Amino acid sequence: MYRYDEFDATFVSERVDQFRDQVARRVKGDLTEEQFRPLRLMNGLYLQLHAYMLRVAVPYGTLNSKQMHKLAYIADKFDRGYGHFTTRQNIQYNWPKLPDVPDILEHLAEVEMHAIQTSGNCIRNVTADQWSGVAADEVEDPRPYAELMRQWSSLHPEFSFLPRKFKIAVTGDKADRAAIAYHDIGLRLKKNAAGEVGFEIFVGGGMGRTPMIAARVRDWLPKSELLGYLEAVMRVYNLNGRRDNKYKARIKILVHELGAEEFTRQVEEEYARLDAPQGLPSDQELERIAAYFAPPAYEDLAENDAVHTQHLVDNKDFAEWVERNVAPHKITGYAIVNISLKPVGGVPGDATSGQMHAIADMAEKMSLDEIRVTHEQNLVLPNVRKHDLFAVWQELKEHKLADANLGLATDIISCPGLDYCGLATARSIPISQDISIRLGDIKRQRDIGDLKIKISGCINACGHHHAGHIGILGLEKRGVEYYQITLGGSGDETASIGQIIGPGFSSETVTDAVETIVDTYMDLRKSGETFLEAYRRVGAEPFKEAVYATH
Amino acid sequence: MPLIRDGKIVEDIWVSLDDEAELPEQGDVILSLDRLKKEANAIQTRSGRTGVVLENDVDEEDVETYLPHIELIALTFPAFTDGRAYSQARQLRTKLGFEGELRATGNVLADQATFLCRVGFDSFEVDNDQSIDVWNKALRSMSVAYQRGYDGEQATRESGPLSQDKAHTSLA
Amino acid sequence: MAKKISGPRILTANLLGDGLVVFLGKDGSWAPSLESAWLAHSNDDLEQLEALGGEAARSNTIVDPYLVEVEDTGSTLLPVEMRERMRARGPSVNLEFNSKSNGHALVADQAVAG
Repeated sequence: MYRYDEFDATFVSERVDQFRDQVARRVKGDLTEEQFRPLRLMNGLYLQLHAYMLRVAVPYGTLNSKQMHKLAYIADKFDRGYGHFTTRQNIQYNWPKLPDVPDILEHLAEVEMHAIQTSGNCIRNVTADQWSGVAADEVEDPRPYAELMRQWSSLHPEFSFLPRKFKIAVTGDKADRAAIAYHDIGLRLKKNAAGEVGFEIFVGGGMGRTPMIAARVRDWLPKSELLGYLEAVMRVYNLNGRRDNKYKARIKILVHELGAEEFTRQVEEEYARLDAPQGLPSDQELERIAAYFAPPAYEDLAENDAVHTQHLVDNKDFAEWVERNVAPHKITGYAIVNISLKPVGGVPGDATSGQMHAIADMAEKMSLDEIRVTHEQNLVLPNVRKHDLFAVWQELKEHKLADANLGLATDIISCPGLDYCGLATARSIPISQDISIRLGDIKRQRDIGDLKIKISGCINACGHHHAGHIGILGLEKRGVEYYQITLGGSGDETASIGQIIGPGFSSETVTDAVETIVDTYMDLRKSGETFLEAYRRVGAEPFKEAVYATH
Repeated sequence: MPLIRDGKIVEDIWVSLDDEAELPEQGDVILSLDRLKKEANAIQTRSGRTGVVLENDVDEEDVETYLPHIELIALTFPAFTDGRAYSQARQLRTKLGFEGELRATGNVLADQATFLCRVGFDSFEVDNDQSIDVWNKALRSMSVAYQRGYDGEQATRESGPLSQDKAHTSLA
Repeated sequence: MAKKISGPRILTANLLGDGLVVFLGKDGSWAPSLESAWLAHSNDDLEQLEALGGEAARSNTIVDPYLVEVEDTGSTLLPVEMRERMRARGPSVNLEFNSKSNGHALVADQAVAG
């Protein structure tokens, strides 16, 4: 994975000093809150419902063990012993104190991490497929380009005060695990007719109060021209994006109002007149970054491991966990381990400092020192020998991290909601806990099969409810929370926006409604048909009938 | 409003002219774009210098034909969170090759200093309460920058190894 | 005579330093509990609260002061809005972490239940 050189280290450490100075000026009163707010936001520091919240960037979701240990250390020393992994592959601390934040950032800098641009109207942490570099059917590892974009977007002189926040996701695989269609810019590495790898570029996707699927603006762009093309997109947006209305300021609205064709024309026009070579990274620079992502020292292993095979036979729980949570690796004899942060009844995405330390230790010993954070709020050990899977599982069990529910009904995405977030209109975590407990029986979950339930505590949709097979949106009316249900959303390569099925439900009845929807699916599904496939075949009607007849 | 140029507070010799006011023969004046268009001929014969203030929604190409006669362009920041002027400045400098004074006006804060300089601004109207020391400190706070092809004092990775005096001078 | 307002209000904010939720008390100090909050019943009261809030913000003790409508049940003050009830009470989850060293969790659970 990428390592800082002197240049990167200088950048981050000066940024820490700069923020230390800004905090000091704020505390002294030289900066008003109004002046300080955008500055702290550019360093990932929010003032939330109960306290400050610090969002630390995990660039494209990749961590090493030292970094994970440090995240655990920060949770203990400066927070309350836990952290929350987010849908942007970041981690949030819920209780830092303002004067401590420069120290926290300094600790992060020690392990080559930062909180730069995890908030504010700038280019946010670039996310990537969590299986980048290890997925069995990948075209190419997209992380060198994610790193290139991280560097390019950091304190960009022209694009740091955009109309609104800006999110970029990248994948190197046909299967989309990064929800690229729901991003301001989605990038997919693919081969052109000549067999060369380049980028397919999508612009204008997003969630929020106006969910949209991104439009394709370029079928194929040479990889080396990526930053030039992004510059053109960003400039068109920066100059023309709406600034009169916060809810219409995202690039999706510009693309929508201009029409995808006209937007593309403007971008291509801008791109054509760019002084591109001047701003593009040199080949040496691309090679320098790419070299860090060279495959680690994999051993030459056999496809099957006798010990592992025996454990599969001997231990049913282990075999079920492998079936659900372990994915094929591109290197023979290795596997990708997905760690569920969704224990039944737990808080989605939360990990204690103890769990973080344990995962860091496992990564160091048994995953070639790598960990990934997923946008579905889980973690990944990407490089585990099949031989070690049983040991990893036992270790995970010991730390209550071995739930075999990846992609099942209890693998719920949930934003922090009104338990923490200053913008939320309703709580989302307690709803996810309630649903998780209701559908928690693992036999039942396995019977239901692939099901993505996603919950947001407000229309900003940080819980990705628009992309949920079952989406839940928490709202409030006269001091009472209520929940709207959408069906049929998807964030994968067949992306679609969930449709509202009807009037909302109270916090007491929403779980019943979800269960009725699930039961309806169980009744009407054809053999082998997933929830999403069944919904796409029959539409919303049977579900509506069932839900509104009984509730 | 105090004006910063070359790291110092300097006297502002430019006068912003109302659209109704008469165009003086002498003295340096800043006109609106409308006025500039109307006086396109007159400005070529006056002895004083002419500048123009551009709103954020003006396409820089609108001003292209006048550039040979213009020595200052002021771009506005209605709020310091409104970043359109960064792209306008960038376009004026690189696409249109404007070499005169590029002035940042409106809500301009010290914490924007590096960004402003890197897109090509070289003078800054700041609030009264901004000390020049804060401004200069902010300007020096980052010695390195990732983006190629932008101005500024910062070293880029391509500009060669960091000199010792550039690295870690932020709090000097 | 002071004009009556629609419902009683209290003044809340977050501390600048640790960011925690506080309410302006009858003695003019900022406390994590709304039980001892200064209850404004008239426009004159409100103006006084807002003035004190503005002063505290300018002196960089607190951030973003604002008024919250509450219901005075006799035994407790209950914010009318859900959001404000949550602020007064603290998170309803992660209690194993959030109850310790958090003054807010001590504030009535009934604030939310109500």
